[in-house]
Amino acid sequence: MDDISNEFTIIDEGTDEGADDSEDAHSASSFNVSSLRQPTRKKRETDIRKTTRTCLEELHGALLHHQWTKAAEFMQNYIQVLEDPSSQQKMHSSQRVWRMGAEILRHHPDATVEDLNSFYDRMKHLHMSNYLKVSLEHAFYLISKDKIEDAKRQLSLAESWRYGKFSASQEKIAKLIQAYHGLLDFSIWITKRNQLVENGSHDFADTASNQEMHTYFRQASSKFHEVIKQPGVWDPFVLCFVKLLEFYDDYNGAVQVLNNYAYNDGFPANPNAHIYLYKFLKKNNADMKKLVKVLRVLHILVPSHKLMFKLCSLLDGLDKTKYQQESLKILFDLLDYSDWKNNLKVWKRLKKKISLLIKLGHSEWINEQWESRRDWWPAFHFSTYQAKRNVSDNLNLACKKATVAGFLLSKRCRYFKVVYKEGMKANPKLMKKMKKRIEKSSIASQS
Amino acid sequence: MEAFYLENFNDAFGCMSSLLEENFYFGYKKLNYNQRKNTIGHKVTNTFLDNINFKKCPFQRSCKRARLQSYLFKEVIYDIPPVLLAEHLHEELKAEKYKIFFNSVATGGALELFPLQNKSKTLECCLVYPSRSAMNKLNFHKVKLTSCKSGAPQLKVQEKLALFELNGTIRQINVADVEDQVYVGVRSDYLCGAWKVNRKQKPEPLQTIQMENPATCISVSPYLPGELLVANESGAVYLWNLKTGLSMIRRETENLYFNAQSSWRWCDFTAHPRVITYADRTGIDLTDIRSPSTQTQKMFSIGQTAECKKGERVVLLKHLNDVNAYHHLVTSQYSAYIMDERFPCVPLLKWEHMLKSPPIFSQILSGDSCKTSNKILLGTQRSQEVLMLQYSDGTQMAYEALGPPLQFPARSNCSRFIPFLLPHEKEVLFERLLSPGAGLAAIYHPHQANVLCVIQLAETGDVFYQTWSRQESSSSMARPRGSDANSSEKDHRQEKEREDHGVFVSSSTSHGDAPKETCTFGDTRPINHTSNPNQNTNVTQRCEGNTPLTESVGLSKKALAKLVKWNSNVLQKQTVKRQEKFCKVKNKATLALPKIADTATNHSLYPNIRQKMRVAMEEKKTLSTCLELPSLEVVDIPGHIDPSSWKDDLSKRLTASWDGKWNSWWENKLGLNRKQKIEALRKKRKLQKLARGHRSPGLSGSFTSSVTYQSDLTDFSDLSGWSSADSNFGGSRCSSPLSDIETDSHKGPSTVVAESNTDMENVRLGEEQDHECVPNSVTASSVSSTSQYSAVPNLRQKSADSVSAFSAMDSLAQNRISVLSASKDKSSAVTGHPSPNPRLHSPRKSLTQNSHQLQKKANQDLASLLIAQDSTPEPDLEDNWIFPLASSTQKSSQFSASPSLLGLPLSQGSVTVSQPKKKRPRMGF
Repeated sequence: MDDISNEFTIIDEGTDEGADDSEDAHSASSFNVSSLRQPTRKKRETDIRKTTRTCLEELHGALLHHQWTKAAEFMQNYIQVLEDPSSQQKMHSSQRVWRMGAEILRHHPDATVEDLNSFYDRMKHLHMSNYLKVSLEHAFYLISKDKIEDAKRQLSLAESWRYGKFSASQEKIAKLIQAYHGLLDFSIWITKRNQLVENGSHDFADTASNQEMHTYFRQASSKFHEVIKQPGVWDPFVLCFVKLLEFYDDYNGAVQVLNNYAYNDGFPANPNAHIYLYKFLKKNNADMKKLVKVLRVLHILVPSHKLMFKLCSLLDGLDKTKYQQESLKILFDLLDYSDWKNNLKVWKRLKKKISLLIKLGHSEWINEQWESRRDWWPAFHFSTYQAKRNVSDNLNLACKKATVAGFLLSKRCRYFKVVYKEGMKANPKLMKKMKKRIEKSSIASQS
Repeated sequence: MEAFYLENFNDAFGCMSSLLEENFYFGYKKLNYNQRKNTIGHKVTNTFLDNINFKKCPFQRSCKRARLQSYLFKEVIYDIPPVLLAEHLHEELKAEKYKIFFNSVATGGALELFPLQNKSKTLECCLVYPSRSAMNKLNFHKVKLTSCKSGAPQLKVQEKLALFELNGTIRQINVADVEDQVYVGVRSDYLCGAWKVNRKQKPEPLQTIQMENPATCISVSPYLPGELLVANESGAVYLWNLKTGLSMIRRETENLYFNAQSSWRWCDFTAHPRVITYADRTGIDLTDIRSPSTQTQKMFSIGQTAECKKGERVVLLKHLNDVNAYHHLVTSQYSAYIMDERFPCVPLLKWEHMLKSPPIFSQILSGDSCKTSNKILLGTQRSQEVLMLQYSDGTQMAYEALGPPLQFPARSNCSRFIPFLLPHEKEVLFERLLSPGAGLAAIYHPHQANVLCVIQLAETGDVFYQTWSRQESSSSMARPRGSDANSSEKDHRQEKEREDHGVFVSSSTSHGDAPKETCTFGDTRPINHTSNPNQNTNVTQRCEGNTPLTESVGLSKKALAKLVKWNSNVLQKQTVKRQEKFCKVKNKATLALPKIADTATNHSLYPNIRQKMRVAMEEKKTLSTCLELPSLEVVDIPGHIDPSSWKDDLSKRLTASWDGKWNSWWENKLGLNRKQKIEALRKKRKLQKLARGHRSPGLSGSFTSSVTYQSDLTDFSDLSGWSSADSNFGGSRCSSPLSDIETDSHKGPSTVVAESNTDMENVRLGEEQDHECVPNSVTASSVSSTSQYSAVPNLRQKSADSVSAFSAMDSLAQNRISVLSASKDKSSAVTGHPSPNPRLHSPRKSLTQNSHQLQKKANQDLASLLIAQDSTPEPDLEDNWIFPLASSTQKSSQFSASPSLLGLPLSQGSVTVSQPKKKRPRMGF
């Protein structure tokens, strides 16, 4: 028996996203499957609850069908749920009123920005546990309406707001508020900087506006600094912070931030962090070995990333022979993924690499890679259908693939035969050259 | 348990009865001697059954033998021990109940649609769906999307490509397009099958496998032809290669991250052909096929993924190969997530889907390019909801959810368009339309990018479709930021698809005719999100094009005709089914009047009375007027005979022998006892002398005599107690049916006096007069009354109550009660013991003797009551005395019940009572 059926509940309202775990699990008005078994609660239901519940169902339907005017009418009546004296009810109903009301006002044809502003202001004070969330959402709304200053004011108000002790979820929201506040500071800073750049004044030290810009920088960087210390995924904030540090030529600081973001064990494994680090290092012309080191970590995390091709050429650039085995593995790994399946560049490089390794006498490295792919690559890459399609789409690619197939499976394999047969009509010269090369060296024939 | 035994008697007892069958004989021939040794004929069984009078099975089946035997043994001989059976039964019922709310078996959906010719943007598609009531026929059906400029695009049904009958209900159909061939994986509970559809040829079956445990998932590899994944309830995931067969990849007997007590498993492919996702209710793992034990990585887990709620569970997992090979759709009962397998545990996108039941069907429609968004359709099982979520194509910007979720109207909505239905027809139709969903498919119109066709499959086998077209209308909404808002349109048309020329399951088949309907709504397409240049986050919510769906849904004439036709089809089948469904229940035995004891039936009085009661009921008259009870013959007390007047020897001898002294008379006559007599005389004299000498023991002698008297008295009172109760019964039997009828006919004109419970009982019993019920109810009433009042006045009260209970609902009842109580006052002043004279008792006794046994319980009750009140039984006896007399007066006097009439028998009673009355004071000793 699945216990899941006990857990299924209806979430009665729309954009209920960030509520506390415990709150939602005990949400009184969401009705459980189990409650159907025990209709006792319905019996005790008072009139006001009954009407509000019916109203909520209607409202729910109207929202899902995007009938905003109808929903607004229901909302006017639903407000009465706030009269419910029970405190548990009050928290949920206030949250519901806020979420649905905001959603309706945002889509309602007659709603204005002022309506929403006043609505948010009221909602903030409906229930204390919602204050931070409502503030953050209000700020987002203002940002989407290009009212950066208003949004900033909202966020700074929320940042200074205190009411008793923060719960864990409120702590998170507070951090987010701080982060977005920093982001707004950053955006103001960047517009000011762009203005200065446009004006052509390159001396950033003197003028009053410069001073203002620097204060924004200080505010933003201090906030980012605080926020990024916390484990989490802070991709946009990290990028902004790095940009700030870069502008003030704090190269080491930026590297430290990125390194911490990528390698700190407390943070979740984030492939983006490594990509940012690589890009930053590359931009600043860092050492090849450092770049390779970053990309190797990325290879473990995401073997299919397009930077892997870059890593391959980097390794080849470092040493012609030393890293051959590694780069071969990277190429094979790339071709495992379906989105690299018909990539000419990779096949070309693989062909070159295999022929080089055979020449160097390292066919065991190839065999090692081939061993785990022997049972499925022929069907995946070297099927008859693939051969026909590749020939008709891109003969060059087909040729490269056929060569690799020849190396790995000998010239008797289907793919090679089909490509050879079809290719002879189009480009017999190329085909003959290809065949000759395979006859000379194929690991399949050796083994 | 009882129900189980009744309905599944063959399961419960079949085995044992077949074992014992050889010992029973059901033929009519006589058995020979050898057979008779260990065989019982069915007549014996029948009589036995009649005797024990078991409850008869209402479901009479053809297998009479098993039934008879099942009855015979009932719960004595069972195949499964009842405790175990009860346990399993309870478990099963619980599971069934949960299944009504959520049945995870159907996860994934049994409906698929794929284009028949790749690349060429063909209009022809192949629809794969199960049909029949058992959903065991796999249909491959060609359909074509036609576009007509005037109206909404329609889905035209073309010829059927193939039809396969399977050995199980089809639960899931999965389709993947590999190298110009479409592989179809079909899952039923214990069987999985693979089909191949070559685009030019007909579908051909490839392989089937049977599993020991129920399969929970099948998915077809989009990379390698002829590769499938199968998961089953044992927690194992198999790679099923059509060439090499099954190979187990991973097996988890427990849930992944915590114990969710769920055996549901799911698996799907990822961007890497050798890495699969392995999911259960608690989370999702990435597993490498090549080295499953070492290469696992967590991708999603309840509790660790951001903002998971308490009690949230994974419901569905789907690889979004068409959109982005690295993306997976994960749904729970609250939310829908898009996960990137490269960035584990952090969802790319998250929606609260707000569906009433968990979404277990989904369909992904990838946007063509940057122009259109990717769309996710979520379908639910119970609530029939279809929800559309949209998110942006993340090629240039970060992925973001677009617009609020949009719900499509449920298919049950189309019942509104059926013009007129009788209530029971409506019920049938609703039942049909509200049947849970079993699958969901959707497809874009290949030529018109803004036309979306959503197809739904119901569990009954009906297939519905809606086509949605987005129409731009500049009038509707002005978006604040100058976007050309798409808006809705309300050209809702519902079209039912042709089902003539028998394309969809013809009406001759049992079920699942597949009517289709279209419904065209405005489609949403997000256009230019207003993004902040500095805003790199995906948190801001932007306004998208939206679609107010208005209620003005219209239906084209053609569609309406189809709908009505389908409806009448459904109704017709339903009526046929209904007739079959109901079995006949023989109610003769249950509703017949129980056999009344011999005396009652033999008595000519009763049929007569009953007939009259019936007449009274029909005419709604009072009984008193129409019921003419024949008067009882008053048997005269024979005159006193004085034997001393006859002097002759014979007379003397006969008199002596009548008295039982025949022997001594002869001895006297013959002088055999002369010596003894002389000795006795001597002794007497001696004693007299001694007495004269001592003169003391006189008082003690009187004492002993009084003691003996008292013991006699108690004996008598006991005896009279019996008889009085009997007479009580006799009276009640007459009066209580009367009272019933009175209540029925009079509708209780305020005369329901004290004993509401008794009359309730009587009314409930109606015609089925039970012998026991009346006295029982009497005792009940008396108990209730005694509990209310204190001891001594109580007795009187009680008697009044019981009287009122018997004669209760008569309009004269109150009157009579007052009379009775008055007379009782009198009699209680007299406080008479019943006469010990057997002559007076005997006739009454003989009348009621037969019902003694029935009365016993009531009497015991009464007796216990009496003991509790006061050890002396006489007050009770008194009203017992009164009552039979009163009842007889009822009979004779046709309920005139005047005090004088009552008084007469009372006075008769008082004659008999007079003797003990005198003795009463002596009891004080």
